[in-house]
Amino acid sequence: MSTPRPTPSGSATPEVKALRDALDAEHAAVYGYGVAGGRLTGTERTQARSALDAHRARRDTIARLIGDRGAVAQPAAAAYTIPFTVATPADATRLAIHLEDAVALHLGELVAASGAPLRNEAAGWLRESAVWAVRWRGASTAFPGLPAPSDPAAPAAGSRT
Amino acid sequence: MRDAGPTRRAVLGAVAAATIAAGVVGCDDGGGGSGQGRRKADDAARQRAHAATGALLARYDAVAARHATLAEHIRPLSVELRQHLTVFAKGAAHSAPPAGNAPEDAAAAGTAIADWARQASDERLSGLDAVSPELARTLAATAACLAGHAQLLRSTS
Repeated sequence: MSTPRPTPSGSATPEVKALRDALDAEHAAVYGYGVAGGRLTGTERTQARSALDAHRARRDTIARLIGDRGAVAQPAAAAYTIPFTVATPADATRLAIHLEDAVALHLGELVAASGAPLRNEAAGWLRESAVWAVRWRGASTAFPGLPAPSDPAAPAAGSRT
Repeated sequence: MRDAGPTRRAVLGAVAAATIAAGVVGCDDGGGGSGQGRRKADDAARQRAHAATGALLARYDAVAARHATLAEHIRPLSVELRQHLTVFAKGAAHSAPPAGNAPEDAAAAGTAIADWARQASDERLSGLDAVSPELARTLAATAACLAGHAQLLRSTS
């Protein structure tokens, strides 16, 4: 279960780098849930709204933590690439799973890269993200936040929808 | 560990919290006394997680054996607990897990098993700061998985 550790970006500490990666994932989740929510109705739309609120709040927390460390929290991009067409509620659900898996993967990296007290907080966030993923997927995965063993660079595959 | 005087203090002052945190993580590769302490903490945490997973699996099995309606929901979750056991098996003492027992009433059993999973998830996160980075990530991943179990079990019971 070895994890390749790409650490290209300059002089940032591993913790700040992991925070910035997690912030990127949260920015993408906020954008993506906006897209997904537009294709959902009823309780699923409400659920997407709650997830969006949760990710917004965490994005703000992570941005603050980056600032606290004397680094600059990067703003969101104008748009993010959605890896497939989101036309139906099933597509939207698949996108939500994809977003949560991506966030969880970066939060797992943050758990590894951080010390007390951030590590525990990150582990709590990872847990929340995993519970959202379970809600969308209707099924569990064994190691949320760890790279899939077959492809160390990819988030855990969310094939079952 | 020589005293580098004002230069060192200035550096510490500039990047305080992040540097200290990174230093904690960095201990892992040191191989000195603190590295040995980290290894002991890792072994203890792995052993705790292994024993807790075995105990939870015994409870899942007991509920599944007693309540056919819950069994089909529990089966895939038990498979994941066995995967956790495999991951934590390295260096863990293999004592037989205690026999699990299950409430007679199916609804009560469903609630109980969700509570057990959530409690195991909470316990998995204690002491996370003492262990090495990759083990911390694995412990956090299994804690997240168990919270997902609790969520699924609550929504099906």
